[in-house]
Amino acid sequence: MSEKEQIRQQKMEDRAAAREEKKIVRRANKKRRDAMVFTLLLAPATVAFLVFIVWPVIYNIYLSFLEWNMVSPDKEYVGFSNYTRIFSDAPFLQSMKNTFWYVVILMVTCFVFPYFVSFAMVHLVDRGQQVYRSILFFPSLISLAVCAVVMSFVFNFMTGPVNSLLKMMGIRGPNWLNTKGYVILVMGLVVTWKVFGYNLIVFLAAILEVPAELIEAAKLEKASKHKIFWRIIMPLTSSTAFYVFVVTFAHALSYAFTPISVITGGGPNYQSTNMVFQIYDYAFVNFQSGRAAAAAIFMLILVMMVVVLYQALEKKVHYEV
Amino acid sequence: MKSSRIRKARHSAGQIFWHLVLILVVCIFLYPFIYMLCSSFKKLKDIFTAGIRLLPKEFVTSNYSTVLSRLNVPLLLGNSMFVATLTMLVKMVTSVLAAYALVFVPNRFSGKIFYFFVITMFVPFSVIMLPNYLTLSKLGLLNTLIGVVLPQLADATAIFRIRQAMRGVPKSLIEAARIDKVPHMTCLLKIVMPLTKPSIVSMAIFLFVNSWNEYFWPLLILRSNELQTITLAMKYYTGSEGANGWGNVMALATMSIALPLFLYLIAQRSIISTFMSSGIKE
Repeated sequence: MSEKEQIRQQKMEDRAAAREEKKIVRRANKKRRDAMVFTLLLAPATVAFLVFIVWPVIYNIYLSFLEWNMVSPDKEYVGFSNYTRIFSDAPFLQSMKNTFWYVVILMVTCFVFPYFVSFAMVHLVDRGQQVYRSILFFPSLISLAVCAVVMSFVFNFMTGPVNSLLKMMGIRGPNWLNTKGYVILVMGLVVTWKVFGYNLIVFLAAILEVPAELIEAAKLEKASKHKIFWRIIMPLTSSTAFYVFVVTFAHALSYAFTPISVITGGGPNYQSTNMVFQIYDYAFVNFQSGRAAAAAIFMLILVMMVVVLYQALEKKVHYEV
Repeated sequence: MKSSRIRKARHSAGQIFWHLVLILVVCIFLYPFIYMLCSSFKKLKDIFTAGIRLLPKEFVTSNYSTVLSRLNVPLLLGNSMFVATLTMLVKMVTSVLAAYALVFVPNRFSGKIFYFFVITMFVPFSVIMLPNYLTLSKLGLLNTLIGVVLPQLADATAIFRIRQAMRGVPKSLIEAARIDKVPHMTCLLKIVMPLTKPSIVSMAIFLFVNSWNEYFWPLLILRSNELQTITLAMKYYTGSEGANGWGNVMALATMSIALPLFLYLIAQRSIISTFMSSGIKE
């Protein structure tokens, strides 16, 4: 090999190396630019979330250990006493009981019920699915405040249509909004009117995804309708069902606030109040920010426990299927 | 031959039964709405004596004229319009940008950031209401419409749904455009948004209606009567009218849902299909 050739070889190698290096730099640049674009695009949304959700959660934890009236400049550190005090406060304990019943009612009306109805819409009737779903989704666009006012008229014990109907059947209707137990039921129905439609749509989507051949095969084998539901639909839509369950749980804890605030104010005698309304009451009526914060953190822990449980179960379900 | 006819007959009998059940469900869910609409055109005495009869004995519009004379309804609607439009616009811009970044800009944190957004959907508002109230008071935004808008901006529903829609756009399309040095903004505006238009429009309507219906922040933030939104006015007006104002309250309720109802009617197909793309299964 001549010297000339060697030099040429060397030059070519150098050039190749330089090209390679340029490529690496360019790729690094691209990566850096992508990271910058990523940050810029996400920044506006993230700022809102940091200011109005993340910071509030942190600040709430801090407030739950203080005694403060929200106005005075001095806050006093009181340890866990806000937590112990809310659990000996009769209205708050009552609100926990009521919240439990709200969850039970909404699990029936907004989890179990739409599950069956969506199954009926897909597999028990041949047509009309689109009409049914458009109409049933419609109430979810009405505000809870309007729902609440309208329902308070519908369930009015003197002149409301529900009691008129009961009277025609020879039953004396109760004073719904002033009777322990019934009042929670009516409030639960207000929330149902709002939430049912969404959940129905989500279930509908999941049930439509179940392969039609499976159902056809089952029908050929003369499997009964409820067998099809329990043995095929339920197992194949379980991840959606878990999701709807968690969402319904979260709604059940909070949504009754609006009807309570609009119609009953928590009454009669705290029989319809829920935890959110009591927290509102602590904070903005009695100015006890510490108790409000402690109760709120308690609620947060409840919800997060269910979310974590959901994730654990969901993983398990995915492995099994 | 005969048995198949019998089976068919039994089959259609089952169909009719289930249709009847579904129609009953539909009636129950529509009933409060129809009751509201009909009562708003009834005289007070007619409402009280109607029992289960829905249609008015005598069709009157006096409830509407009474409400319009007692409340400044155009102002209330205007306030709601301002809050809902601003909330919707800002949320749509931030959510579309965020969803695009999560789907099309490769980054190892995408998954974690998306998870963070989803988790915030489960934070109960009782946890954030007190600190947010304090923040707004520090910013001097109590008793302002902007103060009602701001806390509503942190909501992941739109990010979640729009991301879902954007995942339907082939990634190779964007990658090809990127190799041709098309900037991300152009990709978003010229490729991704036209392809996901139905979802974006229906999400915009959904956010508008949600904000229109918002009850809690107006209740907490707004003090003066001339700033009230129509949804908040429902509460105060119902309280002030008592039993003598049933017809009027129903008229106000009807006016307050007219716009959401109209928007739903024009876009219901795409709204429902946006929600049907469940997004739970990957």
